[in-house]
Amino acid sequence: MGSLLEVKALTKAYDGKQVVRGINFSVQEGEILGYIGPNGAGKSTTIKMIIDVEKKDNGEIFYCGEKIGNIMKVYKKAIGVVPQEIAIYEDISAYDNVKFFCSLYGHKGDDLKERVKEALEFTGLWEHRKGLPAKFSGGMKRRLNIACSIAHSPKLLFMDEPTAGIDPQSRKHIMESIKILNARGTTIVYVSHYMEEIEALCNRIIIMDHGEIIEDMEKSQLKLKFEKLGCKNLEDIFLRLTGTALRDGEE
Amino acid sequence: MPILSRMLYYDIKRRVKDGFFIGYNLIFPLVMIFLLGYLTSESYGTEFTGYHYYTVVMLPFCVAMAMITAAYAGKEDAYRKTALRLLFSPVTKAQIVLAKLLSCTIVISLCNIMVLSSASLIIRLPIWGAFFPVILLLTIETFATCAIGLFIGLGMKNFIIVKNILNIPICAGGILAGSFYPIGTLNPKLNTVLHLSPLTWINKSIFLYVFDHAPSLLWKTAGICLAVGIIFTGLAVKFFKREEYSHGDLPGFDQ
Ligand SMILES: Nc1ncnc2c1ncn2[C@@H]1O[C@H](COP(=O)(O)OP(=O)(O)OP(=O)(O)O)[C@@H](O)[C@H]1O
Ligand SMILES: [Mg+2]
Repeated sequence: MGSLLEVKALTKAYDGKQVVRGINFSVQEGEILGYIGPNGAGKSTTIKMIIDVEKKDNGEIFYCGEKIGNIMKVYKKAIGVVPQEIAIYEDISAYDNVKFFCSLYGHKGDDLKERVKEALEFTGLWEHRKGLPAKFSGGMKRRLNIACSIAHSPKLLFMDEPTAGIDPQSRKHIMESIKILNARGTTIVYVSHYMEEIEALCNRIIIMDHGEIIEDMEKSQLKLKFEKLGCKNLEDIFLRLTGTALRDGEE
Repeated sequence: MPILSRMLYYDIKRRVKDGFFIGYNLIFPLVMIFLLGYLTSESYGTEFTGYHYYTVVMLPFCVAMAMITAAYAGKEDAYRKTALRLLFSPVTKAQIVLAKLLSCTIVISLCNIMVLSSASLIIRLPIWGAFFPVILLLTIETFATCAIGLFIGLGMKNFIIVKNILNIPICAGGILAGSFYPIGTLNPKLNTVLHLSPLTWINKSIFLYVFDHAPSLLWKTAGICLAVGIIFTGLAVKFFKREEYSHGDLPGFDQ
């Protein structure tokens, strides 16, 4: 298994403030990569640059060894993204939401219908397919946000805090779904603040802080390395590496 | 093409369900025509009534107001955060702009057809020979105003500012064109000023076509509107910025 995605010397500044500082990492085919860091570390910005939503200041991104700029159409069809902020139309049905976004990938007819059904069943929303998302609970919206991102069967899926603010039931459902997706061959980059989720899901973990990658290691190795320093779990390791100071709009 | 038609289909669907959109483009012109027509009914004769006058001047004015609606439509995906999804999926900026532009144009034009048909039925506007050309002119005007609105809306983060900026020239243009109160003058200087408003030309074209059976100005005006529309569509696509498109918060906007 080789690198599916490779990020080299990626940088981004907003209004003169460096948010991502020349980071390098790669995503291996078939893995679930945990991408963690305190609020404002630059995780979402990194992902937005990788998915071509935000312009990068510098650096290169390669998909299957090719610069994404050269294979944009193929690349865009191959990726899926669950955005941190719920991105759905509240005024059309759950079914229409998934159908619309999936159709942007060129699917139509029976193939499209089949995909929409599968994504809605997968996220436990099939019974609510006719409902308007405006009337959905937070957990249902989060699951619809996922359904809209997976119906076209992406090879590489970015999930930016897909479980923020939902109950344990929905969370458990989403966790199970991610494992199934991965078993079916989807490579996943998983951003979260829930260390238990990262522990349960990921093979490898990247820790980002102040726009830099401060650790990039197999989960087992990471735990081994910090066990000697008295860190019992991932949360201990995270706090040891990033400190305990609050990150409220710091410069 | 299939992707654009999909986007168009869902955009139209959402626009038709949008109470504000329908309110501004269907209910508002009807209310204004009947209200102003009624209030001024004594100043007109029986052949040519206040209702007739306000039907002709109110529709082009409301179409001009649609510039604001289109600017909002351009920013809506940013507020709903769905802009992000469009940006990372394999659609082009031209598809994004055209889907918005055409959906606004189509739905507003359908509203115009409804307003004009009900006006001609209820208040017997002698429009029958001119119905198609007048609707065509209004549709092309809609296309042009929506293109301008989208160009501005897509380029600015804050819709409230866009709205406040656009309100002034549109209302000034409406006043000069007699959209609220008829302005006729023999003073050549003032007359020149009145003709600075594009709406004056559009109103004049319709009056000439409907009541004097003089079609040439209408076709010229339609041609100019079409050219303006095409230019601004090109500009909206050319200056489409991914960052501007996806960023923006509307105070008080809550999904
Ligand atoms: N559009 C923007 N304009 C200006 N600054 C921005 C913009 N987007 C993000 N930032 C800033 O960039 C920094 C990194 O933000 P980012 O959203 O990438 O962090 P994050 O690691 O995803 O945090 P969180 O865990 O809170 O989601 C923050 O300081 C944020 O304020
Ligand atoms: Mg984030």
